[in-house]
Amino acid sequence: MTTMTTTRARETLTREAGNFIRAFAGSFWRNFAISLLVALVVSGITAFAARAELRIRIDEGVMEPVPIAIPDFVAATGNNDVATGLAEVIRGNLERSGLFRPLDPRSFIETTTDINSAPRFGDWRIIQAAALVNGQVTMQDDGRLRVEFRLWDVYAEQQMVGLQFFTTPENWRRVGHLISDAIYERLTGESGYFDTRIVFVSEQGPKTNRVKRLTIMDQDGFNPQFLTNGRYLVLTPRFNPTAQTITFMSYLNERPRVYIFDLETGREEILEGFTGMTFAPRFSPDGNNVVMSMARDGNSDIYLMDLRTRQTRRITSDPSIDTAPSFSPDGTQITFESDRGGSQQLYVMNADGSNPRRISFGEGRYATPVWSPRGDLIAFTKMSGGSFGIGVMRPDGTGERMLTRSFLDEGPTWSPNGRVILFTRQAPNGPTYVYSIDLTGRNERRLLTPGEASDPAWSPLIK
Amino acid sequence: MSDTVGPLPDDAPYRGLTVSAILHAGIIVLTLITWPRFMDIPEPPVELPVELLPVSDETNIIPMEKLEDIRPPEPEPATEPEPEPRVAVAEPQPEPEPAPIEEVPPPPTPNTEPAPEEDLTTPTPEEAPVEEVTPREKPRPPAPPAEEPDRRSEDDIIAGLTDLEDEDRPRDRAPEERTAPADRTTQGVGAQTGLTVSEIDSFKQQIAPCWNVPAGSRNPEELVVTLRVRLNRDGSLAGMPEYEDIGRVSSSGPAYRAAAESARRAVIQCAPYTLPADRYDSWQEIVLDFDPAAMAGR
Amino acid sequence: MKFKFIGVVAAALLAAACATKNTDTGGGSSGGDSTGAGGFVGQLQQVGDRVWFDLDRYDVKPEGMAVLQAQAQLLASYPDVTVRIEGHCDERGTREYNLALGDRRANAVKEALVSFGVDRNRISTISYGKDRPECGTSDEGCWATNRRGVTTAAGGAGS
Repeated sequence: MTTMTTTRARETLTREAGNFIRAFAGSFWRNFAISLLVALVVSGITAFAARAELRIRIDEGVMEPVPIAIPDFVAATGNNDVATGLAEVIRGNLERSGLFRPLDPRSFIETTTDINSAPRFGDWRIIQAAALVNGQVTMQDDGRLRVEFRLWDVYAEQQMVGLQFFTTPENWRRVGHLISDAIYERLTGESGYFDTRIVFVSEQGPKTNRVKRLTIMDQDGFNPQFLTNGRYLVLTPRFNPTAQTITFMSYLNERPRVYIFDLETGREEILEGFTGMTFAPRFSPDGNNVVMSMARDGNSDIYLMDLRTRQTRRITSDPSIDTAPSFSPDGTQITFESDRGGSQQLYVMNADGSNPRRISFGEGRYATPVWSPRGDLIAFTKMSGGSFGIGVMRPDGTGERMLTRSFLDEGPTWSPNGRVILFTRQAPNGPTYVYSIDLTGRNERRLLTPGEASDPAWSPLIK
Repeated sequence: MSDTVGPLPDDAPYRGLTVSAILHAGIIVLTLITWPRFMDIPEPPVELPVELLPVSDETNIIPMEKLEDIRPPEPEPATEPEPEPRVAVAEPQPEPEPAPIEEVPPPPTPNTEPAPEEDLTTPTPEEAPVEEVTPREKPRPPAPPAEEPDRRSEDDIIAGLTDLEDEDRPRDRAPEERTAPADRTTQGVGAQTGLTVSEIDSFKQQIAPCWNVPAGSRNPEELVVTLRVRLNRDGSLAGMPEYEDIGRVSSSGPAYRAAAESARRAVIQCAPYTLPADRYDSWQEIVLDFDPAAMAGR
Repeated sequence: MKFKFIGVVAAALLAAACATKNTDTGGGSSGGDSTGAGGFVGQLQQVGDRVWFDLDRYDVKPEGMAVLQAQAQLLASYPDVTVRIEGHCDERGTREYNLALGDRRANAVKEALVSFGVDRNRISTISYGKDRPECGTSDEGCWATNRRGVTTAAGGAGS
């Protein structure tokens, strides 16, 4: 763009210079003027030539997955299953992120046998790997597994990361996630999200008699675990900041209320103190409060409960539907949806309820705003033209961008690094699944859940 | 001259007067400065360069040792600051068995117990000579660069017709449409470059397919990476590209480091470059500003 | 219109089913007169246990008001019966909003019954949002069926 402008300015000026010269043509000063012009131009060039430096702004590139080679790890003590499994876990994680393209191991030329010597980089450049991961698994005498790996920059020919982990053998998948995080962090500069879990609602049975169960699993779909038995309806689970507790809505005993579920003890506890239905809960960033809606006499407002004192506080008191509250990561503001203006729209207010202002102004209805963990964006559901989509906008309402669209997409949740969004997608007359979309709007895919699933929530990084 | 760029707009005479006056004044002033050189000038150039390239923020080269120097063919020293040795211990996660709510799933949080410090330093590379830096198989740009002569003449006509009117061209046009703006610009975009706009665009097109832009970053405008690249006459790298501000690379955090390494990989991966052989002097050393802002959010 | 008709037919069928059940089990103690529990449920089906709403609306339509008036009259003759109003929505809304909208609908029904003389302490409400649809396909007819407020016997009608 700059180049174009420059060219234009230059050509315009060249033209004007021509006019100028012509104006002097035939005059007494003609020769002198031309000489002068020449002097001006060339001397300028000469002056610059002394410090000639070709400087070029590179503003074009590609946004393609980085080709990365991840050979099976070396099994130093014969643990071949773990050695290949680790490489598979890492390949799967990186591939699903959409930012990496793990290369087919059959294309590899060099066979890694010793991760403590440098790779033959040329062999990896031939297959166009930008990065190489070499790893090794050793069963120690104390019964623990030792996993070490090195990440190599194939073009710069240097090691980028070298780490080792010790763990119990049955826990090897988690090491694979930790290694994936380390690779992702080093190559993208942003924190990884592979050592995380996802809580969601498993769905079974016909639409008119759906069995819904709270379910938790690793982000790659492994280790699924039901947390409720399906005899009562459960909705909208969300993690607390330490990933130890889940708040959700439950119809246990036909009493629709917000509950919290302690993953450590397995205990499910109702948040008492409300005279009406409570729903749409979410933790505050410090984990000490749950913000939610309470419906009473046909009016839904936003409330806050302090989990330590069990005191409740009303945040909004508008005769409209105020729901789906979500804190900003610094805890000072809350975004929510309201139909106070006549239709569902997004608002932001201070955490005490003051200064509510509308931030959505596009065509259609907006719902379920969720503040990004890095604070720069709010994800939402937008309904317009008979379809539902997931989009993002800045907290001041600018920069709206739609990432997905279908018959029914709703309920976004952010990955802990703010790069990926999970959401529920229901096909018309079809199944309901959880999908993921990258913030660039590319790389949409279905989350690996054991069956139909809805209402996902991504855990923060497990510390 | 003006005839070759198309008809003048209606208000051109007035604009011409104004510009003439400005030029006139400028010439008088500059003549006073440059007069002593007057007699040395052999050839009149046909073009007035009016725009200087902006001075970057990053010209403060901190003279310190390179972060990772692989140029010497000797094995790498094991004391390189790179490897961040760390030891982590992971504890089991809960078992996957379905649990009714009465049952207590095991604690999900692992305890990280301190373990003895163990290093994973960089092993001694068997081979890291600088000659190996150039990849044997270089991915070619998807679009042919503008150095192909026959293509260029055709594009040149288009450029001459459209350049002045069409300043709001979308930036994501096909590369060949963008590479041809002005071959008559024989002295290049800035006085100091010595390459034409087409040649610079061609170079950019040669790097573009190798540069994986750090997309979706929160503040892409803060991730501008400046590399100093030295080239051989055949367009291959004469050494590892160097960061202009190595201190920034090592201290600005993981996002900047990742952006810096991605830019460096691009330069290495896409070498050798095709540049006008007769002007090797002007491109044997190039400073590249990798600016992801324009690609962000796409 | 068609769906309302289907609804009426469905209600009639349900009523018939309940009546049958009543004769099967009700031969014992509680007698056959109008104070029996099955009697209320059966008659509720006859007058219509539900009203339907327009898209994203929670005002009871005139034909719905007629149904609720009949329900109120029925409740007047069963003074021990308490009812619970279920508010439901179609699937064309987000989950949280539909929970709130279902609550609005249930309360609209409740207020209508109160306006027809029913003691508000006899009426409770619950919203199921879009999570307990009666019809499982994705078309306008189905959605219209699902946008409903349903009166159910909560106490004093069976035990």
